[in-house]
Amino acid sequence: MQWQREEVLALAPDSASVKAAHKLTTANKWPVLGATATVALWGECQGSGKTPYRTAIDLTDIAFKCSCPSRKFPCKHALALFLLYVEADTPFVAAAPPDWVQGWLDKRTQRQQAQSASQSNPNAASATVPPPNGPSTNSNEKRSDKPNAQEKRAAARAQKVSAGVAELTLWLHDLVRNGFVDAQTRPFRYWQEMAARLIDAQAPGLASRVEALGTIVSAGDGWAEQMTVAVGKLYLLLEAYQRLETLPEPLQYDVRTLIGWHQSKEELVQSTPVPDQWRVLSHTLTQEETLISQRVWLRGETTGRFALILNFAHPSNRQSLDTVWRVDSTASATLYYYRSAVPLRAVATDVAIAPNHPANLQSTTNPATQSPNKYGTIAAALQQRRQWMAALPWLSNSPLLLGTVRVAVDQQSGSKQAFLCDQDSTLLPVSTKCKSLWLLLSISGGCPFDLFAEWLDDGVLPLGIWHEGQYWPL
Amino acid sequence: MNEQFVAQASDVQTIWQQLVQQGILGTERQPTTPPLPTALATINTAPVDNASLTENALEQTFLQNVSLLTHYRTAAQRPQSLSPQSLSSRSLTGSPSIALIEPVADTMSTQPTPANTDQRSALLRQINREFDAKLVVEWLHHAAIHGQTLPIDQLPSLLDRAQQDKKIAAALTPCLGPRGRWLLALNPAWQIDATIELSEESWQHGPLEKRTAYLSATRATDPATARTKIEAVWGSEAAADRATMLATLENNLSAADLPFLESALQDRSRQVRTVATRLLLTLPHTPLRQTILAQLTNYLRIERKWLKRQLTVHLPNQFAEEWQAWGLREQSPLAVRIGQKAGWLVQLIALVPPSALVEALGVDALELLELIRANDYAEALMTALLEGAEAHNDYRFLLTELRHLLRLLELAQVQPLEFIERFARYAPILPEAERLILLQQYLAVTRQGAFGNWATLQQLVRTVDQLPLSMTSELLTKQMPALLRRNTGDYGVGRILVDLAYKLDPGGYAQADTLFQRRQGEEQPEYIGHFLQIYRLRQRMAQAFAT
Repeated sequence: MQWQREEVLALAPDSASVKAAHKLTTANKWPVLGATATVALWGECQGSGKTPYRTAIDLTDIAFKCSCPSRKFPCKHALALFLLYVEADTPFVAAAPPDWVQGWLDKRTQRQQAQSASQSNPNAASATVPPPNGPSTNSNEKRSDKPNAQEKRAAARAQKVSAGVAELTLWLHDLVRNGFVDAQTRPFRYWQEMAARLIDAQAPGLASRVEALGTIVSAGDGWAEQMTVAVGKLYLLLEAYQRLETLPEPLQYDVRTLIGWHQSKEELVQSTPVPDQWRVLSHTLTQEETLISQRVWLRGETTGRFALILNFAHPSNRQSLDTVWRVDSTASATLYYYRSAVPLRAVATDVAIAPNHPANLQSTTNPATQSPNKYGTIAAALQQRRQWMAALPWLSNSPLLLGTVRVAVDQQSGSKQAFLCDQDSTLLPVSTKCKSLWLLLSISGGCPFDLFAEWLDDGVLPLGIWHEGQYWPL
Repeated sequence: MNEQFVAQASDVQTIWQQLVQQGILGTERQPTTPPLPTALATINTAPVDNASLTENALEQTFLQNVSLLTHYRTAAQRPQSLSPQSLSSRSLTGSPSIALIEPVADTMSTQPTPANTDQRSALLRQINREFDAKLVVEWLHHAAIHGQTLPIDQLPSLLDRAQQDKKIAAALTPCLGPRGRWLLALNPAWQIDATIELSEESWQHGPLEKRTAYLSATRATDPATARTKIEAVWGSEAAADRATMLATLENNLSAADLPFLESALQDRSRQVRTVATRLLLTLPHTPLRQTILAQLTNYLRIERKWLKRQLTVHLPNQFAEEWQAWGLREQSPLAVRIGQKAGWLVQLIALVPPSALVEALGVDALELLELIRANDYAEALMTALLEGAEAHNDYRFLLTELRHLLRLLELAQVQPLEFIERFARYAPILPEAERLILLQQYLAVTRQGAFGNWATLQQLVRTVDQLPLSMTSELLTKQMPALLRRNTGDYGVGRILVDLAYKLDPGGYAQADTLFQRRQGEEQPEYIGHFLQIYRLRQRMAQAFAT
């Protein structure tokens, strides 16, 4: 598949690496440049030393190797080599990989084979997933194989969390007794202190909700309504935890996850696998201070199921982010969904770009690219959202596909509030978080389009549109 | 949501507002919690902890109702909809202010797609995301020449950038295409002056910039109407605006404008009088021009002393009354450096085109320059002549001097630096073509010793917009290698090279690549990479648009 420059740049650990790489993207810096189509690239870049740096890229499952001493990954040499390749005006000699590249590729293949063998052997993985209220096999907690020790730790944590929940309930009572207007006068420390106590109670999910309250009180217009909603959801979560045993089992997992328990990837691969050809509908990277979040929305071509791949990484080390997902491509993969009343988040294994898949044979400008055939009306999407919300009251972002919609604006709000309008003349507000409305309009020219979006609390956030046979990520 | 739990939307909204109000005030100040709608009250179950119920009963009830209603409002939301009649009238029943956006009357699909569109678009995406405005503007200029419209996914970001950068705004207009213009009209936050059609409306109600643009456009086709329009509003405009409007008469200036310009000499504002004087002096046979030249030939006299001629400067004794009307200042800032009387003379010289003065003095331009250079007031007089040349676009006088300098350079009677400094000083007044010819002649005369260091190279390069291929080759194959060999260690070489990267002809990139080919083990400064990167992008751009 043809990589785009933007996609290569997205792999960079920081802007300094991009800048440094740009300065190496001239052919005269690379006395040796070679490629084996769709398999690997390699090159030798003359640095300040006598020996040039040897850089290689595995194109089948993007991976980098470089002999430079940089601790950044990928380093500037690897990025520059990749940029030279995608710009396609620098001559790469088509040849068999030299020994140092072939050796590295062979090792990677062996490692991948060993990994898939261990995953297919249930005995090689961690212990089976416990019931929601049973001992967890979270990697952070897996310090001993002895079941007794695990149970003791789980019981101790449950006790701590229960104490935290009780304390938070009392704290909420105080908050509503004094009123939100009183909370507005409190310093941010007030919220942080409660959050810290919840961290001590091993309930990080609750802690972040309390910190969010501290942000909402100073959010400006509409803060009181937002505060009421946030407090309502938090109280519902506390109530749900106290009645955990009475809830349906999938919802128990959600409640525990929202409180702060994790479902590890090792546990998930023991659940029901969902193999399919997965169409990549959206891939976003957002950075907040020291955390990069990667969100990839997929849709199974056979199952029609949506899946969200969610990864996190530190900006200086992006290795934990997946590089295989490219918007509008289709990958063959087996997904394991996190246990939930509305299973959307998943982890993927055995991911491989399907080389013969029609979507991958077409360039992004080929008008043959088709939108999925199962998009619907706003009424149908709303019905789906209602069902999901009924099953999981804390559901925030959920996917939707809409067919043949247009943009409408509320002229009284100075075009600030936009709506999507379908063929049934039903309106759906666009979220205020949407920054790409003008891009959407520019691409669609105001004509009807098919849409993939995320449903947020205040409306939909468009993530990509199909227009005139082409998919445009937003 | 089960039908048995469906409540009236208006009830839910009212109760919700009451709950929000109670939340703001707190249960202590507002103890009454509004009851839930009957349909929802049935699913509200008792709290788990009965012991705390009595103690925190008010708070608990509030929180239960809030959590239930929060969930209900999101899970049971119903959409707004359009009625058929509102669709046709572009407004919605129940939401009369909401309207569908009308689609673009797009002609793009019927227009032939220029070759290399994808490559061009990809380049623009890269440039727009990673580089400053210069490369964007260059792409837009290429696009305008080749009839290429902007890629639709780049329109919003470029329209955003155009709000901050006037050069992008100006270059963007020809490439907007139907879709760009449609999009521009949708967003009131996007204003690109060039896209606004100049009309009578612009003149009547627009800001000064648009009014001036309207006048200039009218002046180009109908000079008399433009002048009449200025005359009509003359009494009601501010002084600065009057001066700006008056300056638009420069285009198509003729004897028909004389009466109005002469009346403007009586204006209250010195700024207006200065503009009027300049315009009157641009016309060849005006009485004012004759008067000033007569005065000047009285103050500047060519006299014969022994066998040589010399320029004698006779300073005015007093500030003449009419000078005030011509915009001269009695207390000029120049007086501090050269004295008050010399300051008056300099201002007077700066009013006339230097060629007219040369003619009035009965010498040729070259001789006058030499005489001035030998005079005690050389610097002040040259400054005045330059000002005059600039105001009247009279560059021929300066060309004479530069050509003469080149001859002296060839004879090794002056140093290259002298030419460079003079050229850099006069360059803004010279037309681009003349600048390039002079530069080419300079390079031919000086060969590899044209530039003593990188700074002098920069001084010359800054005087031109774009270097032709021949000069690019000359720089890349002779001048720059010589500078590199000399390793002058100039401060800011990186900045100079970046300047060069934007001005060299893209066709010379291969030579630049060769010039900076790194030898094994040699450490190369980062700025060379930056120079090559920009230059290469320009080369790719030129190639993409050449096909």
